[in-house]
Amino acid sequence: MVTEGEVNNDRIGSNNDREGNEAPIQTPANVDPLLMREQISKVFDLWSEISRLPTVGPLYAYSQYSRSELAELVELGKTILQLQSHFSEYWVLINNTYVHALTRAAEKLPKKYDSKQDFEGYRKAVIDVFEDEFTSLFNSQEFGRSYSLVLSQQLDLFNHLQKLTEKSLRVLNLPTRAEVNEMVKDVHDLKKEVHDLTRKMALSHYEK
Amino acid sequence: MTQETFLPNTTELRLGEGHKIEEEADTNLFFREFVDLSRKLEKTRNVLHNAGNIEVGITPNEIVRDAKMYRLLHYRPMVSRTAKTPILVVYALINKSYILDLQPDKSWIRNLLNQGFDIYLIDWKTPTQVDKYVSFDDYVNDYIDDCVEFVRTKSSIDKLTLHGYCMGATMSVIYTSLHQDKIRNLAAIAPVFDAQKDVTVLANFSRHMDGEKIFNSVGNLPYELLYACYSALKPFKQGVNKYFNLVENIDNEEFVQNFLRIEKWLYDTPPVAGETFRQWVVDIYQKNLLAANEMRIGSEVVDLSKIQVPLLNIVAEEDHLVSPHCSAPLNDAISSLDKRLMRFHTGHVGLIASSYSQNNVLPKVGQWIKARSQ
Repeated sequence: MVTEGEVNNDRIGSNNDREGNEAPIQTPANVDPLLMREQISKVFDLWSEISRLPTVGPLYAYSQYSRSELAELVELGKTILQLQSHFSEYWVLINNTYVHALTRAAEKLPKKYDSKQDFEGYRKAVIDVFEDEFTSLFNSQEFGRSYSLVLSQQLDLFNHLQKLTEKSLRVLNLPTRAEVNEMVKDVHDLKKEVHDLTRKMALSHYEK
Repeated sequence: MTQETFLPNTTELRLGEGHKIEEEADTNLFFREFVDLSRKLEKTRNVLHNAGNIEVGITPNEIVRDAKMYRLLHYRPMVSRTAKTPILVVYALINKSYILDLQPDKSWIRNLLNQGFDIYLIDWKTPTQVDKYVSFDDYVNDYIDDCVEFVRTKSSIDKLTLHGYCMGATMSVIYTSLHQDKIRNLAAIAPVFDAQKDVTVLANFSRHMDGEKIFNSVGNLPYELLYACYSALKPFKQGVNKYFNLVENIDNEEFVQNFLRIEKWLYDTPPVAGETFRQWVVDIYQKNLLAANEMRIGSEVVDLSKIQVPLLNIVAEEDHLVSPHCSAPLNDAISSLDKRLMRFHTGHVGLIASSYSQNNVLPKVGQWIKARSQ
């Protein structure tokens, strides 16, 4: 047992390989995030495969419901993982730009603050620097792609949650989203037809 | 213990009498500045908390048509009419149309009325989820066409002047290419046309957005997404600096009222109908179909080279929403012999709702339209 303030020498000692060379300790801080994501993704894929195993016999019908829910949950997990990855890239871009802008703003620091104009001048200089840096970032292809990926993953997340909620509320016997969409499309098409017919009738009435 | 013991006047000891007086004066100045800033911040807080009742769009008008997706407003004349050809103003689907009539001294509509024109305005209503399939075809061939028909009948004229702003200008251009027998003049303010040449942040976002996925996932474009895009446009000069300016000018009633009106308009953002937004992003920004004369509206392909009516294209050199490089090529794409490109040194909103537009833009626009009206 390791008490507070002591060093666990056993753990350090067990880190040597068979040849006695010291191997790096895999703490959460130094685990390669890419490797970690790959491993988690593999776990999700494995569960996804398990959920798709063919089922036979009387339990087949009963298992349909839970199988589809499980598959949706697995997909949700994968999407969260991807979103986290893209969101990190997005924040790296924002953060780098912020740091760069801050450095440039620091270079513009006035030597002395003798008057209100000195403060005003510096404020304007800071705003100009930040504006310049962030507008360049937002105008870049890299940011456009990154923002688009984050947005896309957010929408995927939204879709999975919608599907899960829809499945949970099946007992209420409500129309599904797809069915509502179909109705909305029909209503739109009908409105358009009514509009065209009304227009044609008015025109023929005018011609008479 | 006396106060002098706590606060020995070291300045006087080290620097002498003259410096002491100067420092006291500086301290007083700093203190006065601090007190004044605190007062201004408190006043700003009060102004913003009580900013609910801001009057916009007060030029007298009558709703002459009220449909599911729009209202058609007819403005009461302010002077005796000098032009028989009415102007139908087509506003954009982003934010609300009252930016064209923000306040009496900066109203685009009021200025045109004062020049003797007969003005109608299409005020788009907020689409709901039921309207997610409403497309450009509906906006152009149904809603705008209904309004054009109404104005033609009411004014007993064959042709009118179509006058669009931003997205409304793009819709006006599309409408004219499909129904130019009903149009006498086309006056477009900052139309989105050749989207590949658009160098704005908004264009960059639009080129990378998955329009199909947005449509399939959430239907209409949510206003939160529009806010997110807006916040990336001049994020510090306008997003941050304007609030510094507000505090600084809080005692200037005119400045404050103008600020509040613009602020109200900026955050009065309805969602955009899903299918319309999908076409806007995919067909116009990503595939650039409008500039290629390949955009399909309903059963027809929009061919801008068919346009032969007089065109006035008004662009702002400092437009950060629709860059002038994107609007200007429209003049080369149409066949009209009478076409004019007017460039002004202002921004997207400054072009239509500022003292600059009242003094520099509107007189020229009015003159151009009047010369081509009955």
